[in-house]
Amino acid sequence: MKLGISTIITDDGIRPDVLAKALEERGFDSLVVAEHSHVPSSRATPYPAGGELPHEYYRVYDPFVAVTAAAVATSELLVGTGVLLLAQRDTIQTAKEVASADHIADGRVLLGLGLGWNLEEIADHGIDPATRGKLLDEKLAAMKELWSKEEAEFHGDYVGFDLTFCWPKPVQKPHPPVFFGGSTAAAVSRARRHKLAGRPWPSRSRGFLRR
Amino acid sequence: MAVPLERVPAQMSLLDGATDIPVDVVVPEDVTPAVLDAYRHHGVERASILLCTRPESETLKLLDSIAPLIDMYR
Repeated sequence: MKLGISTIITDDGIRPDVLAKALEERGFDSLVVAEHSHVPSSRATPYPAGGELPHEYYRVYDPFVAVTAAAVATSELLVGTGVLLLAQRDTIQTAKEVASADHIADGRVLLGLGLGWNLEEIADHGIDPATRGKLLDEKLAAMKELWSKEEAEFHGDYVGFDLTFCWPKPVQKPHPPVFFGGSTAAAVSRARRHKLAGRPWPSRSRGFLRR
Repeated sequence: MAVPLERVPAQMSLLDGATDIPVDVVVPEDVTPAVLDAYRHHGVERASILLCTRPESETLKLLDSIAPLIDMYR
């Protein structure tokens, strides 16, 4: 069994390049970093682990900046997201970011995806949180088209574009390994439906996610 | 707080026979070998240790304390 690290990279914690190099030197398998684009001040959605939202959630780096820094500091370590909130992201831009990072990392990118729990964060991106499951499915399907086709097109209920070029393509074919994070049977079902990997989280009790 | 060993089977039961997908699991920093053994027994490919955000010196010290687990599960 491989051992990796999952963490939140911030401006006041260890730098992603320093952390990645330290992990590689010690023989860890991977580094995956969390994503939160912002923290709406209302804090209406409770923190799933209970209690106050931890400090680091307010200061999260952009995941692909962190992944790129980790990639250039290492040569063997797998680097990626755990998890990327795809439903609230632009599909084409994200496909390009993943593929670009996979190039910089020489094919070492892992892509962990999740629905997200902070409903206000999702809504601030113009997304109805209730649709985020379908959005994630559709955006991933569209990204697969962009990653694998010379010219791609996609026409879904939420995502649509006519024939287009979108380069670079990922180094890993047909695309980097994709994981779904989640602590529910639905997350496992989604992984099986997409024939991708599952990444069950620990139960959400306080002290389980936080030391 | 350590992961209760007795909860591992319940967590893995989420997979409900999904042997067709590789599985990673996220574990806390103070995970015990007993818990990792249980996950390995259930066919988990990778355990990702959930590292709290800290300054560099504290993080490196913690990594040194965790690193011996790598050889145990390689």
